[in-house]
Amino acid sequence: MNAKICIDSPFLSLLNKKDKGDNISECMTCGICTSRCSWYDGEGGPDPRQMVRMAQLGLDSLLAQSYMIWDCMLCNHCTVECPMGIVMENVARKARSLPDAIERMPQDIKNGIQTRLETGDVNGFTQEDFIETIEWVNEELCDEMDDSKAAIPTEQKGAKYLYLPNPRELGTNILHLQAMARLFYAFGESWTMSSRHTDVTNWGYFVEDDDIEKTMLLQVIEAAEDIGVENLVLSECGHGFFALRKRAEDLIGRKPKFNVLSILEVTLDKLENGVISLNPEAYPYPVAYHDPCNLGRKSGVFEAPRQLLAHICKEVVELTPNRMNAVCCGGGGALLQDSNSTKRRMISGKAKADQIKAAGVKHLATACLSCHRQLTEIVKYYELDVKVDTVAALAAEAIMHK
Amino acid sequence: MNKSTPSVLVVGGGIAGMAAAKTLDDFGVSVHLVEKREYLGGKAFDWACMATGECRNCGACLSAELADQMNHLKHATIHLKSSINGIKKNNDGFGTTLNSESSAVISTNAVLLANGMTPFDASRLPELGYGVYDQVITTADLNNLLKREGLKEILPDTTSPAIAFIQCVGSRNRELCRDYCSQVCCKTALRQANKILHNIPEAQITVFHIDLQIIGKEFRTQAEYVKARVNLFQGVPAKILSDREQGKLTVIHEDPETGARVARHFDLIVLSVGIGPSLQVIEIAKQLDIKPDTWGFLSSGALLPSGVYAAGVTQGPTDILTARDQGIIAAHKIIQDFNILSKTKHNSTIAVLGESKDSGMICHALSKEGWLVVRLDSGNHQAPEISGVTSFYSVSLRSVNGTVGQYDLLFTAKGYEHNIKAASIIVVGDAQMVLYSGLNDSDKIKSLSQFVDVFEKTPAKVPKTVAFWLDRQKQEWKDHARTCLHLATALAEKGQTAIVIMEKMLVHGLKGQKLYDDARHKGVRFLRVSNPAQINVISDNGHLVLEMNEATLPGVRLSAECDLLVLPEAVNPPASAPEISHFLRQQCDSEGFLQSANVRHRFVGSPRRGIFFLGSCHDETDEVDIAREINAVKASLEALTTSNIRTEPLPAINENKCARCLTCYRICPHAAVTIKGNYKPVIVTDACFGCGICVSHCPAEAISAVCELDSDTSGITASKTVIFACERSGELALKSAMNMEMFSNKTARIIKVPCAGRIGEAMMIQQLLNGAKRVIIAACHEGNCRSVSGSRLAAARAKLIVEDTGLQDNSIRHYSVAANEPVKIAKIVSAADSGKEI
Ligand code: SF4
Ligand code: SF4
Ligand code: SF4
Ligand code: SF4
Ligand code: SF4
Repeated sequence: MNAKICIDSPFLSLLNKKDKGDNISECMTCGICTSRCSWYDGEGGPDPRQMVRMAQLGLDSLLAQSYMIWDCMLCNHCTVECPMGIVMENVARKARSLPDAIERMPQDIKNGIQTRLETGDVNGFTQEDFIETIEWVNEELCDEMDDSKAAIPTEQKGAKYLYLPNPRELGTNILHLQAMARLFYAFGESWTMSSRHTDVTNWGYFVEDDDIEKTMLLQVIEAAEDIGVENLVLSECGHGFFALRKRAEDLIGRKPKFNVLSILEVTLDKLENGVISLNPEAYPYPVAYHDPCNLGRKSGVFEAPRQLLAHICKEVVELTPNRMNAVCCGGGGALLQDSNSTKRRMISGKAKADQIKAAGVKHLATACLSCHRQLTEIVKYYELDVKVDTVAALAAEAIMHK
Repeated sequence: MNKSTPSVLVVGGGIAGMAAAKTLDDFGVSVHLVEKREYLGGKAFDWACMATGECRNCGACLSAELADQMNHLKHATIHLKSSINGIKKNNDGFGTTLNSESSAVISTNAVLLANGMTPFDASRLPELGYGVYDQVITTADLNNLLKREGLKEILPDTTSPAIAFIQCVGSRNRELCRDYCSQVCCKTALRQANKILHNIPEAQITVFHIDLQIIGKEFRTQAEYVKARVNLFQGVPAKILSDREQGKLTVIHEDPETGARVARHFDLIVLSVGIGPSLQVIEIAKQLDIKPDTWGFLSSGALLPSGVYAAGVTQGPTDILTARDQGIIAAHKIIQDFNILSKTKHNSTIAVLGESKDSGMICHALSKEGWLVVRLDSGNHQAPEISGVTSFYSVSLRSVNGTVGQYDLLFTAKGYEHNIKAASIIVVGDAQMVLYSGLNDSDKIKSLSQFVDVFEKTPAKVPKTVAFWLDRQKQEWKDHARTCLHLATALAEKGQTAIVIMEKMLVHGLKGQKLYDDARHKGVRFLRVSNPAQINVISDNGHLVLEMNEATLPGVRLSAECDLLVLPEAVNPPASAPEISHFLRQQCDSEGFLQSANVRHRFVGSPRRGIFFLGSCHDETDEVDIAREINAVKASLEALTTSNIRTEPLPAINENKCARCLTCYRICPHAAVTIKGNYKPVIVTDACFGCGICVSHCPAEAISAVCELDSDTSGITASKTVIFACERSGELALKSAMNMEMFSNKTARIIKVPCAGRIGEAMMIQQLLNGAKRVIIAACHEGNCRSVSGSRLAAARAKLIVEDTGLQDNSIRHYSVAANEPVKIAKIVSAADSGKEI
């Protein structure tokens, strides 16, 4: 392959501008990141230093045409210890916006983005679908709780909490939505969901088109502001949380008129203030916790899920390494959202599977529905006898009704 | 000597502190030496000898030697197990209290901070598994294993264990606020790798590095040898995994051929941890109101108040030899600042030899201090006059006779013959700068000096894109690498484009890494090329195109366009080196530069008193080194003239017995024998080191002995072992073996000798005749002997006797033992006791 160094390539002009993390010119080729990529030594997988070097030397098309930028899970595991403070996702993600890269964007991602921009929901979920689904869920809920007030309120202006689900909760994982509704029911405060408000994800983030990401953020933020809620409560979704809590203000140029909270934070708060009580015997055995990269390393939320878990199980088992050094589940960076990547995801997930195996637990919790799906699949693929749940779902199960 | 001799508090009994204390003591300055451990020597004292058949010039053994010398200081009080409780500046100096002694305040006029170093705590990087996996250790741990000869304990039972070194752990890292190169760890790792290979020849050793720092003549030549025997990979793994199934450690690394990430498995991984200042410095600095630099060093940037001095790692990361030098220089500075030297006493002449820009600097520095300087310049470019300096140009040496204090130089200058007398000779020849060859496109290729000329005089003529190509023929001379770094950064600042092609970047000195970081920050592009032969230079349409295989992008043939290519000159030994080495009777090093690499005489000295080397004639030196070398030369000159008290026994030639064979003249490694009149050899006391080599070699037995122990039979022990031990190596090792209770002097009789070269055949055989079963000669490693050939001569003699007499192989045997090898000497002796062989 031949390539020519370019000192002022278009891509370079996008980088080295922000004060944090895309200072690729400073890379000193130490190779630390290369040794740390979450892919470990499976075949394929990105080589972070090569990505940085291509960008640094202005080899835009080489980079844009490389499989690496789409294989990268944007997990930043590699650059945690970068001596120059370079943050990998800022290179890989931005490279995805190069023209040559856009051409290579996985079709599923392209479609998802288009649908979301057009309909406000990545699956094109319509208002009718929403009403139908909620009605169905409500029937179940009211039966189960034997209380008509257990139903999910919709379109309640001025509610204290607006719950923003992961689209999967309105489709393949409806049980999770029921669990969340039980939590809200237990909080006993006004809350609502909305048909304009069904998708916590933001695939614009995956492709680093600031405009797309911003549009998607506004779809959510403006709708929530219309409804006039005090708090927007996000479903367990790593990148959705990162986008709304960490990046939104910067991108839309103002603070949203509400607080952005994760369902975990709210639940923990209610527990600590005695609003709800959880059964300490709910899981009388050790449960391991997986840090979603977007929630943990990128957003700094490490303790809330652990604290919540600690209330309801015998012991929170750590996977090694964890927190800042946690290993990606193998589904990050839009890998999970691309149906062509299933096979590769089993390779990129091997490190995680090894960790889980080494932890020797039967039950694994996480705080992101994407991680949840990937973990469920790798556990099966690697034949580990481990059950996977989200922390909030486990908490919902453990509610003790007075 | 000044009437009011000052007193100095030296904090830290490591190599820098001890060297300073010794120097101060020599000048009659009273010293309080404070050391927190119960023995002197500092970290270097714990360091294992790296010799592998020959000395590897690490300098660690010098610490043991200095520690021993501390027992003989005349004006020093040594406070062991002590650290500073409080220190206050007062009117005439400093008042210090120690934690060990009651409330007595120690008053001194000056304070020298030589607190030593702290190794980086590798557990701060949890992903390396230090403290988690038993097989992940640091270079310091490995050192301990080597020192007690216990490496095999942690290796699997195989003849070819796989061992990796990971460089730069806790160094060169801005995020850890340690963005400086620790300077020592590349040397340490390669020396340790070499040592392991010496002990386990089939070991598979891998060194992961960022840019190997191979700097300094002590190290450069050996490094090539080690590099050929280990696998070198650019890029440092920052994550170590344990592979339970294989029982090995795994790291992931980019395969330089395929560019794919591959797993490599090792039995042992050694982390080359960086060094930082001692934590105590911060505490003391606070009390003295000193601001350390961002890393905690008292570097030159951190202004020290009057009366406070710093040396060793306290002022920046340094190796053992440099720390020793800094200790001596700091002591000398104290001596100067307190006017201990009388200004008028220098009426001796110093001859400065060689053509060099550096010669002006040393001439200036010496004349300023009242020395009479004669500059003998082999070039014909008249340099600006310096007051107090007499200059000769177009000088060609004819002969150099005499000894320290009275060298006699015969030379011609501009065709006329001259003769001068000089107390000392300083050689300042320039290395030869050889222009690039093999590339033709003269208007687009410039040598570094040509480019500097353009850059300085006609900056407008510097084109838009300039490429600097380093490491083209061999590793770049460090001063050239630094100059290119500065130039490239300057160009980038002006909005021009600078490209640097290199195999590795040298980041020497405390600021080296920051300069490199700054260059990248400003946009200089660095390209790594591991095989310069693959670089193609093509002329294309008014540009040059450089095509290369870039090391971080395997599989990509990279091209870069430039308007001008700068090729630093290759650096060769000075043309005059053979001639000068001949006239001065001095060895060159293996690359042909002046001065051997022997650590006992480095950096500026030689085995011959009063002969010094400075600048590029003997080593790659930059401005900082030159400044340090000038100070070191000045300190040595003062020491020669001021503290000339010789206490050791020195030999003399008995005129009546002397056969005029002149063996002594030929064999004296210090050139201390001169010939007077009618072939009459005379030993010049000032020049003599008292090694006794002449004594044992004089066929007429005309030279009085330096030690008289030949016929003494007392003390032959039950084991009937006699050890001749060099007082600089073997004997010190035996002493520490005794301290460690690995050896008792009841086991063997020890005969201390000033140098193994003193031991004649007769002495060796006499011990057997006296009833000894076995004679051991414990002396310096090859290349470490202060008297150059002493240890080697003894070894040859022992071998010869055994061969000639048909004695048992082990009845007389020479072993190389450094002062810091107590375990080795103890093992040798106990093997002798049990009749076994080592
Ligand atoms: S997948 Fe994660 S660890 Fe690998 S290059 Fe991308 S951000 Fe780095
Ligand atoms: S860790 Fe940082 S400095 Fe090192 S190679 Fe990777 S990006 Fe470059
Ligand atoms: S003899 Fe001294 S300087 Fe030489 S390798 Fe051994 S310890 Fe180092
Ligand atoms: S490059 Fe510098 S910091 Fe890194 S290992 Fe070598 S000497 Fe130490
Ligand atoms: S004792 Fe050593 S230094 Fe002195 S004259 Fe004899 S050989 Fe030379």
